[in-house]
Order: sequence, then structure tokens, then C-alpha cells
Amino acid sequence: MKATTLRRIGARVATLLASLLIALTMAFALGRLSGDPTATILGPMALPEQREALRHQLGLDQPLLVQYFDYLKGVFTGDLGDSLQFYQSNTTMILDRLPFTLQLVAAGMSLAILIGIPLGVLAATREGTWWDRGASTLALLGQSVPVFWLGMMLVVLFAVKLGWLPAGQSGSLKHLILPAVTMALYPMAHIARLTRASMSDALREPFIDSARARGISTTRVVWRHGFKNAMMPILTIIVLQTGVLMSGAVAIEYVYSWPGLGQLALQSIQFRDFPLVQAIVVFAAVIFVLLNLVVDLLHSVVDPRVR
Amino acid sequence: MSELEIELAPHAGEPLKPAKDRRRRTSRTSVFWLGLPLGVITFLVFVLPLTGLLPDGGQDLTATRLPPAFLDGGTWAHPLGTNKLGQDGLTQLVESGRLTIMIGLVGALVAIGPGTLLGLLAGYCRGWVDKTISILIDAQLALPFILIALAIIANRGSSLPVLFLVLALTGWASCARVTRSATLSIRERQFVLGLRAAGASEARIVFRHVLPNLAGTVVALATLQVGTAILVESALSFLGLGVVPPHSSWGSMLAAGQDELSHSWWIAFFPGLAITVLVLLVNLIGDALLTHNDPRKRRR
Amino acid sequence: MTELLTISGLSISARLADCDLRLLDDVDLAVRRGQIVGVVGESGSGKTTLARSVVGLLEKNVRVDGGSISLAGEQVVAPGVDLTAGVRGGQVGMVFQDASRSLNPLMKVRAHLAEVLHRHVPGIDKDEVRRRSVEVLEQMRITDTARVLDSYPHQLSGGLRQRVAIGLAVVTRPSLVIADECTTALDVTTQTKVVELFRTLVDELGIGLLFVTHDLMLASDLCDEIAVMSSGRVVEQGTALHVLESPEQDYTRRLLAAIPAWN
Repeated sequence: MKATTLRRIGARVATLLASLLIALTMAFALGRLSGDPTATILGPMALPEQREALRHQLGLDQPLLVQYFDYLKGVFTGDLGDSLQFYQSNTTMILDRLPFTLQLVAAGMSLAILIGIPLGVLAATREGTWWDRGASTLALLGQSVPVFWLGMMLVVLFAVKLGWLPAGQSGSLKHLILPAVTMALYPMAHIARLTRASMSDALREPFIDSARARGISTTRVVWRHGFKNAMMPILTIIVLQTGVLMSGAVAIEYVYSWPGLGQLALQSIQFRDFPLVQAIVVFAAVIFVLLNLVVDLLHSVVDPRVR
Repeated sequence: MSELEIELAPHAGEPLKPAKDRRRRTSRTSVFWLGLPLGVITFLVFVLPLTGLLPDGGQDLTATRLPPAFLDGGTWAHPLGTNKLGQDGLTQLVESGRLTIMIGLVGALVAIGPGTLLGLLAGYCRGWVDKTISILIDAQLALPFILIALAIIANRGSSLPVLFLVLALTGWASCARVTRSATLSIRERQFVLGLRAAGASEARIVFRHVLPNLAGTVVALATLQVGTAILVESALSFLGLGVVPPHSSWGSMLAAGQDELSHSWWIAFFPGLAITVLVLLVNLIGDALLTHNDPRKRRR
Repeated sequence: MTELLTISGLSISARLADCDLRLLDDVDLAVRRGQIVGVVGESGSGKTTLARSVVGLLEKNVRVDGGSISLAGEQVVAPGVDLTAGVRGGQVGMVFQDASRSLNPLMKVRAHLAEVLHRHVPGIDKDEVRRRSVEVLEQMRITDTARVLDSYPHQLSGGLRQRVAIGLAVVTRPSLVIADECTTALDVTTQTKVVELFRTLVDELGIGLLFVTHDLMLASDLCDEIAVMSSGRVVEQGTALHVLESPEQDYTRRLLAAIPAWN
């Protein structure tokens, strides 16, 4: 690795850490500046003494700056506080739910990649034809459907009417099919659209013509020369979408009663368990920043020009 | 198109080839043909309730969970069936449509307005202004939006203003990013350099010359943002965190339909279909507008 | 058979939405072994279309109206033939305008050479690929072959990149090479070296070269024969000396007059 490479990575890490700090501060501010959470948590009937006790329990009676640094210290030592409703460490609870979410995201994302990329390549190599129009419209449709509604309709069809698959909960591979298909739809559409755009740009590069002029087979020109050059934005979106799915699939997890992070987030909100909400936001932000770093590393693996 | 716009059109200087011109025309007609059904839907949603043609929307406990007319047991008195309180599905769909479309439009405006302004500022002023705004954009994009929404709602409870706040907070960054890079490229164009050399004031350059050049892109982004806003709203309302009773949107109708799924699927089916059709039309138009404004995509 | 490339009466047009556009109109041209034929014209004269029609690299909406192209006596282009999938590689090598963009940025020079060798030399083994890669780079007058083979295109200078691109066109030992404006993006010194290289390649390997350029002076230096093109037609054709000394066409005269050094 060259010195310039190290410097570039260093600069990128610094930017990401700055982003993380801002994200953490926003999460903190959302909790502290938007009113007294004890009023929301305990309801309007609570006695002042009860609220005072809760404030003390949450550390809200401390000066704001002290609270902020305590919070940051907690984040960097992995201590995200305790849940108000479960009387447990938030970190433990998040880690308990993580495998379920990871399982769902891995299945959904694999499906999205396996369908989205060929669909996009098909559209790009047949640009302007009905294949292209069909694939592009299908992809746009995938981005226009409320996915959780699609999930509900899949449940009606495959679980209620046909009885082929279970409607919810987790457990076996059969339980995974419907949630994974539902989860795959949006990223699949996103990947397909991006692949089409990126591929159609790459296929116009002069080196494509020159490879064809050398008699290289069409398949090889499309994949080795075209796709490899079009791959970076696609990889980026795959990694970042993974982050979105990990924390953002609340509605899908809810439809299928999937015991993942999204359900935990929803429960924490319904019970006004503010420390837990905040912990999940922080966890998601850290994951996002890590995934951004992965994107950068991938970039330098794929493209020799940025090494 | 006014004279000014023609003069300052982003591609001024390149001669328009006939093929390019034709392409422009086709994208304009496709926007028209996509806009037509969208206009009809909006018109119906706002005008139908005034005509008295819709079935009575009130509760009717003698006719609960009626299937739509085309299924066995359905009746044309309730074309799309009824819910568990016997309320007519079609009437509810039309009345909730008003709030849904309104949220889509306002939600897009509150995101695009600040987004455009910040992007313009960053791209035009550069220096520390740009650095600060860029870091904010990165941070915003590094924070999963649905969780910000949840965090805010956990604190403030669900209401329309909170919903708009969420839509603004989650939508501004991507718009700011696009506006910023477009501004950066426009400010280096020959004509802007010429204006500056001629002594035009910075504010005049930004608002009279740079902004009109961005208008097409911003309109396209705003259109796409309407679709995003409707989808976010429907997801939040579905979870009981967006539009909550006594208000009703297509998203909150889905929430009500969730419990009835095993026996009365139509209660959730029609509002979801309505969202899909509306968002698809909006996205198709936004896509056509974006292509129309991007000379690179218009190549063939 | 002395003629490597015979183009006779070739007419090609592109179908646009509202009209048909004639790109080549009744073009006759021949290239023999050991001969360099220049095709000269301003942009839009059809010279690049001519070059690309030989290797079959035209757009989907282009079709042959009449005439034919034969390579070593075998007809490869005629009315009804798909111009997007013509003869490529092996038999004809092509060098493009901008070598920085005609090489895949993600592939090393070694991989470029190996790919085309594997495609056109059946059953070639690793050692043979390495041997011929080094050999062709040496033919290109490249001295540090080991470094160049292990470089990505962006790590090479413009002149080196163009040499690699030429090497890539001749590594399969084609009988005909087509160079499309391949010196335009280079500075004058590098340009001279590349032109010299072409001359020696033609003399050493006995290939035929179709040299497409807008630079009449350059063509007259290098080429044995020159065809001047304008609006899809060959308006003047003959030996370089003939075209330069006694231009019969007004168009050629104007092309000549446009070169300041000539006055």
C-alpha cells in the first residue's frame, strides 16, 4: 500500500468519524431537546415525585454537558444504557435480536442481488427494446409498492388461501421464505435500476468497442469488461441498502411478527422506552458508518486507480 | 419557455440535433400521458365527495365486512366492500385519499425547500459553508431515516406536524446533495464566469441565473419526493406512528386492514393498490422529468 | 490473392426515425499486403464509418444498401449482413483514437494480451502466452516489458498506452490493421514515433494498414495511397504524391489550403 492510499483512507475515516459524532449528537439531542421524556413516559397523571425519581434514574437531573459525555462514553464502551420496560441492558437485547435480523437481511439481500443484477444487465444490453422497457418498469414498480402491503397480500395468498407457507413467526426455512421475498423487493428494484444505468454508461466506453473489435465474445465483453467497470456503484448500494434493511425493515418485521431489531424498535416506541429507542438509533448509526467504511475498502479493491 | 430560459438552458451552445429535439418532445408527451391519470385520480379524490354519488360512509353494523361487489356475497351498494364497522370501502378510500395526496405534496415541499436552499448555498459559496453542509448531509445519510422518525415520534407522539418534521428531516439530504453538485457545475460554466466578470451581484447570479438552470432538476426531484413521502407516510401510519384516528389516510387504512387479513383481505387490498398506482405514476413522471433534464441520459 | 481488403461500391445508411441518412455512398477501396492506405477527410466525412464497417462495429440502425467488403477474397459484408457482428479479432486488428479509453482500466496489460491470445489461438498454453506477449511488446519497441505487462493502463504514459493498443491489435498476427485516428490524441513527438512504428511494422510483418486520419500531411508522409473522403464519398484517390501535387478536386485543394505549413 502506498502512502497516498493510507492518507486517503485516513481522511475518509476522519470524515466518517465526524459523521458518526454528528449522528450520535443528533440522537442525543432528539432525546433531550424535544421536551421532558418523563411526561411522555409516565403520562399526565404522574406525581411530581415520580417524575423526579425517573429523571434521576435516567440521569436527566445532571447538567446537559455531563449527560452528553456520559452518553458518548457509554457508546464507545458498548454500554447503551438500560431499557425501561425490560429492565435489561440495551446492548444485550440488541445483540439477542441481531441474529434474526441478520438472517432475514442475508436472505433478502441475496435474493435481491440474484434477481436485480441480471435484470439490470438485461435491460442495459438491450437498451431501447421491449426487454428494457419491461425490466425498467418492473423495477420502478418495485420501488412504488409499499413493501409491507405486498407482504400482507403474500400472507393472504400463500398462508391464508393456499396454506402453503406459515404467515409469521420465525423458526424454519419455510418461515423465512415470505419475509425474505418481501424484504428483497425494494433493494432488488433499486439494484436493477442502478445496474441498468451504470451498465449502459459502461457499455458506451470506447474500451468496450475495442474489446469487441478484438473479437472477444459478447458474454465476456458484457461481464468482464462492462460489468466489472459498472460494479462500483452497484456494490455501494448493496452495502448501504444492507444497512437500511438491518434497521429499517420495521414494517416488514411487524407484518411477519419477525423477532428482529425492527420489532424491538417498534416495541420500544409503543412502550415509550426512550433509552432503548436511542440505543437502537446509535447501534444503527455505528453499523452505517462501518458499512460506509466497507464501501471504501471495496472501492480500492475493485479499482486499481484509487489504490 | 421564456427567452431567458432558452438563452441559459444548460446545453446552450451545443446545436440541438433533430434527434435530440424529438427526444425532448417524446419525453414531454410521456409526461402528459402519465400526468393525465394522476390528474384524474386527484380530481376524483377531491370532487367525488361533493357530488353525493358515493355510498354513505357511516357505520352500519348490519353490513360489516362485506366483500367487494365482484365477489360472492358482495353488493353494488358497496362496490369495494365494507370494513368491520360496516363503513363503505370506496367512500373511505376517496376520503382518505385527500389526506394522503396532501401529505405527499406538503411532505415533498418541506423536504425539497430546505434541501434546495442548502445545496445551492453549499455549491455556490463553497469554502467552510460547503464543508459544514456536506458533513451534515453525510451525517444525515449515515443515520437510518426510519429510526430518526421513530425517535422523534417516540418523543413527541404522532401528529401531522411531527409527520411533516420527519418527512423534512429525512428527505432534505438527498436533494441537497444533488442540488449542490449541480450548482457546482453550473457556477463554473462560461456564462456565470462572464456575468461575474461583468460585475453582476452574487445574489442576482444565484437567483436569476443559477436557480433557473436548476429548476428542471429540482422539479423532477420534488416529484420523486412526493412518491417517497407517500410511501414513508404509509409505512409510519401502518405502524400506528403517522396518521392516527380520527384522521385517516391510505396508510392508516392498511393498519386497520392488518387485523382483518385472515378473513377480509379486501379491507387492506384496495388502499395498498391505490398507494401503488399513485406512487408508480408519480415515479414514472419524476423519472421522465429527470431524463428530460439530464443531457447524459438523453443521449439516445 | 494480393488484395487483403477489397471494398467495392459500398453504400451504407442509418435509419433514423424520420429519414434515412446515407453514411457511405458507393465507396471503392483496396488494401494490399505491405501497403499503407490512408483515408483522409474532415469529421463527418464517413471515414470512421468506413473503418468500423470493416470490423462490424456499427450501430444497430445501420444497414448495407449495396456493394460489399471482402477480406482476403472472402466476402464479409454485403446487403443483409449484420454490421454489428462482423469479422473481428484474428484476421483484422483495430487501433482506436484514444488509448487511454480504449483499454479496460481494471485490467493489466498482461490480462489484455492474454485475453485476446486465448480467444484467437486455440489451445495456447501459459508459457506461450507469456512468450508472445513479451515478443509483441518488443516489436512495439517497448524495452521494460516486464513492468509494462504488470501495469494498469492508467500507470502508463500516453505514448506507451498507444503502443500497447497497437500491440494488442497485432498480437494475433492479423494480415490487416485498421488505425482510426490513432495519433490524434498524442503530442507531436509521440505521434512521429507511432507513425514510424507503423511503417516498420508494415515492412517487417508484411501486413496491410488502413490508416484513417484527418491530417492530410501525416497521411502523405506515411501512406502509399490516399483516399480523400467527403460526405460519405471518396472524392479523390491515388498515390500520396498524386493527391498532394495535383489535386483534381476542389475539396482536396481546400483541405490542403487549410494546412498553414504548406504555404
